[in-house]
Amino acid sequence: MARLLARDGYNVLAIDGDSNPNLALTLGIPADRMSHMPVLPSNLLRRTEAGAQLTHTLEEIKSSHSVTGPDGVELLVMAHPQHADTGCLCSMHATVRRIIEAASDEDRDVCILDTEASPEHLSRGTASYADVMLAVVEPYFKSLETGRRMAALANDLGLERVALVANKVRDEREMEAVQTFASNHDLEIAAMVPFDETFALAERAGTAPLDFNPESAAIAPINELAHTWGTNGRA
Amino acid sequence: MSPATPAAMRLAVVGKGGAGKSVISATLARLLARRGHRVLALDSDPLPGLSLSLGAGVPDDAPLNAAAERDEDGRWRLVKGIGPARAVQRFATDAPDGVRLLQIGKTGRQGLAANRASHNAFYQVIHRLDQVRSLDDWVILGDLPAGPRQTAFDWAPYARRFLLVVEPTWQSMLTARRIIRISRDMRDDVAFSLVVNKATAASDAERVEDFLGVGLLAIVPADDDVRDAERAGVSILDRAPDGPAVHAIETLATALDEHA
Repeated sequence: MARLLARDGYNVLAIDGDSNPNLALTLGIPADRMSHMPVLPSNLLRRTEAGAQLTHTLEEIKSSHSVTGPDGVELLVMAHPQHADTGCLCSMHATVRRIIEAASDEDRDVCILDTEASPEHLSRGTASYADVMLAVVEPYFKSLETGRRMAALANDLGLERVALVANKVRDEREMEAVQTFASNHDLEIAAMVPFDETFALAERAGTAPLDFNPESAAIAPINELAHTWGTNGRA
Repeated sequence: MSPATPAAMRLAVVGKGGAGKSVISATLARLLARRGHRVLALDSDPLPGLSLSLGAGVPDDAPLNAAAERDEDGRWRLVKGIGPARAVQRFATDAPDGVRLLQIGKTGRQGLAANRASHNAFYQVIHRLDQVRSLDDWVILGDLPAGPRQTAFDWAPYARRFLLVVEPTWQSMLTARRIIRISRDMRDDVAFSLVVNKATAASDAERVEDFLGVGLLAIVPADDDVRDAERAGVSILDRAPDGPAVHAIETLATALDEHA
């Protein structure tokens, strides 16, 4: 989504908010560059009466800590546990929350946060300034259950637009399973992305699926998702 | 049956999201139990995983919520009269094949705050498991959530061996390498073993082993039966006991028995 929107002229800020940061690789930044990626330092916040505030503007943070990836996507990487000197990632989550708050809501600007495989970004409020939350699920029971629980947390956090993205859908039967689950739990489905060998092969090769095979089957639905939910309907 | 004292059977299963940690943990736990080991399975993931793959239920409320309280300074402690032994005895539940399962509690409607007591109780219990003499001859097997975070915050202090479940993808290999590095920075009393999952080519395992420099214990092939079981949210041992994935996890159980 980040790259497809960037290709269409959006200014895309991607944030890897996972304590296991792999977004760079999937964006198309080679694995051998990943050990040298800048990460967000833990001293970007200061306490004020109005709560924690960023010590620099987002533009300053981007110019000192972002990496520009393929198609011009700007990437910020949250520190991972190896860099956390405090024994807690709380300040990093708070930093990312403030960065999202500071992200521009101009028409051609999009900010995408890729989160950890856990409820941390919701329980810590990291995602609280997001306009949209997409819970990516596979058509498996555990995954759907996880998506349902994430959606409930997002609603509690006050996020207004929450939906499932079904990924790796292999056939009609799996599609129906997702639809049934979604309707039973009153959840919206933002997109159905088919299982696509390209994505598996790209992960093996350590490249972006978009570079591995730009014509592959999953790209069109992701493009549509990007231009609808990804822009929060502004397109 | 040779339920030898599994001194080395203190296991934590770690890896990237979707790598297959829960399926492998659960199947391994049940297979070890069938071999005569007494097995305590630890589920520290607030999202559903291990319990479903074991074929056990997911309780609505975290059982351990009753085990912790705040002291006068607001710090969490185990409730008076509940030590680690009693906590396991009282709050672990039965799973198939006689496995006992201690769960941290799942995120539900009430959000994570509702289970704060349970999370704290769980953390305190796992840090004192080595004091529980009655568990000395048990297998303790923990299934950790995706990624390196719980490793970094010492959520597997009981483990003497980390089983790295790795798919032959870069994302999965880089994740495993982070977990190894973080763990080695923190402690020197833990061994690492590799389980390559969803292998489709003979070279897959070799590639992962070379990258990580960790000894390979088992190769679990990509298996349609696993996908079937996962769709339904049931154990592969109940759905496809003769499939290639179960056979591969049998060899893992044997290898661990030999290590122990």
